Amino acid sequence: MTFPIPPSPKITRVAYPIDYIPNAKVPSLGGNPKNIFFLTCDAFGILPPIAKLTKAQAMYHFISGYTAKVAGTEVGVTEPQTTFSACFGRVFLPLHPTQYAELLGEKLEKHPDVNVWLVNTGWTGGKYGVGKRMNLKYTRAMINAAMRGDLDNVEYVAHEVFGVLKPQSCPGVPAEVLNPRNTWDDKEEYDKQAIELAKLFVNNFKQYEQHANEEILSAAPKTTL
Amino acid sequence: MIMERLDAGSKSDLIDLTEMGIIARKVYFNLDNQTLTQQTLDLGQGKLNDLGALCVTTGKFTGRSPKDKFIVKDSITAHTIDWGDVNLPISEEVFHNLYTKMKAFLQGKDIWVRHCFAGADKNYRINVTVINTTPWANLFCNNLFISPSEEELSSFEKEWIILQVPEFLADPAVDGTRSGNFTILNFTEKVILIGGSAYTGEMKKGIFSVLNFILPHQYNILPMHCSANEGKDGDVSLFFGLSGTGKTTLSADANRSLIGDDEHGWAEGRYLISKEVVTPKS
Repeated sequence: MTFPIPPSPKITRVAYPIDYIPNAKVPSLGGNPKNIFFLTCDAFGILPPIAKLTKAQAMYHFISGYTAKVAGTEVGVTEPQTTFSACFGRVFLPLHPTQYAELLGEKLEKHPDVNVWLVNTGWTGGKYGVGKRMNLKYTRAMINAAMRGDLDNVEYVAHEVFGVLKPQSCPGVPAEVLNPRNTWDDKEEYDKQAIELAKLFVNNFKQYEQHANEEILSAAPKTTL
Repeated sequence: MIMERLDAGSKSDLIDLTEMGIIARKVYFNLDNQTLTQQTLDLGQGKLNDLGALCVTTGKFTGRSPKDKFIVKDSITAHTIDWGDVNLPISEEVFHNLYTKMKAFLQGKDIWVRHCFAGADKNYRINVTVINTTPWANLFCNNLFISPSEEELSSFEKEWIILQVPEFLADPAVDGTRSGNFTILNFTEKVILIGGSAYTGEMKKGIFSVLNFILPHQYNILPMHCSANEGKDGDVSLFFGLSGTGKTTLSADANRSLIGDDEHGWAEGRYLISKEVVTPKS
């Protein structure tokens, strides 16, 4: 595609009618969700590639709205930068984030069959600079397995720090990938980094603490092992 | 020649803005995409690329300006809004002063107006009347919001109004804004004022902010910034995630239909919200 006018060096965006998308559903309506995925690109390589969340964890991670980015391209700068954006869209929320989270909790209470998953599309085998980006093929396999119900009856183990439930098997995904600690050469370093990340979560959550109920607060990660 | 084209397809008998105090030279009402594209080309405001897509530059602003977005603090909002960095308060007085000035600014100018809906669910959608000073901004709204049918158009009642005038600059010292550009939401008057910025995303996100207030507040609907798709059995999946997490990549699935990729509301048993909008970065 060529541009007839000099495109902005910063950003070019495009808008088009929904029916330009071949498999778009019009009108844009559907039923209650069956699966909810919270996607994060964890450049620290700590969060599992897929984990099931309890209702409390779903609310906690909804308010946290976490991802990490790899800082710029400056030579020598490899430390990932965290971004927390409440409800994955803080800047468009006129009400306090806990109000949306409590509404999510209400919906999940009413529809206990809805699965909420935390999916890390970021790093595995070490943080940025050491490990590598999660294979997209695996992420797709995990999401498809979740949607097909293939993860309904597998064994789950709680993450040591975040408490989220890691499936121990998933069709099309090597078992070791499902446990991020196993993908790190240096396990002690993993544990240390996991605690560091947990502290960032807890620190970010301080701003919501006074408005959050006990249930939500109970889903915070551990800051000591 | 240009005027002939500009006149094509206007249905301005369906809209009367004089009651609002807007005395425009000409009102182009609910034009189709083809006409709006042609008008943009005729006015020299855009060009077609090799694929036939209309390209425009939005000038100084290529993104939203969060520090210049305000919500009028009044009896509806004073004790409900989470005031702070992302929700900056502004007085009713500032709003009314700017609203009056902006309407006066449009006197004798050509404007593009359209009635549309925000929200796919008829039970919860809001009626939005958009007033623009360029055909391409109006075209954007036709792509982003939902077009009423002929029948819906004839019985359309004005509810929310977006007044978008990029050419109008506030004088911060006099008008009480931070900069020349501003976005102001007024939940009592149901008006969004946008001045000084031609970045059309201010309109879209302005409406999202409105819905993010109204849906939970009035209907107990959870508004969600996510993608949504549906399998052949009708099972729905939602994908939340910040920029760079794979939201668009993972929700695009040849085996599933896409419900939307930006904003959805969880009512009991249904989703709603905007017509599809895709805003990839390049």
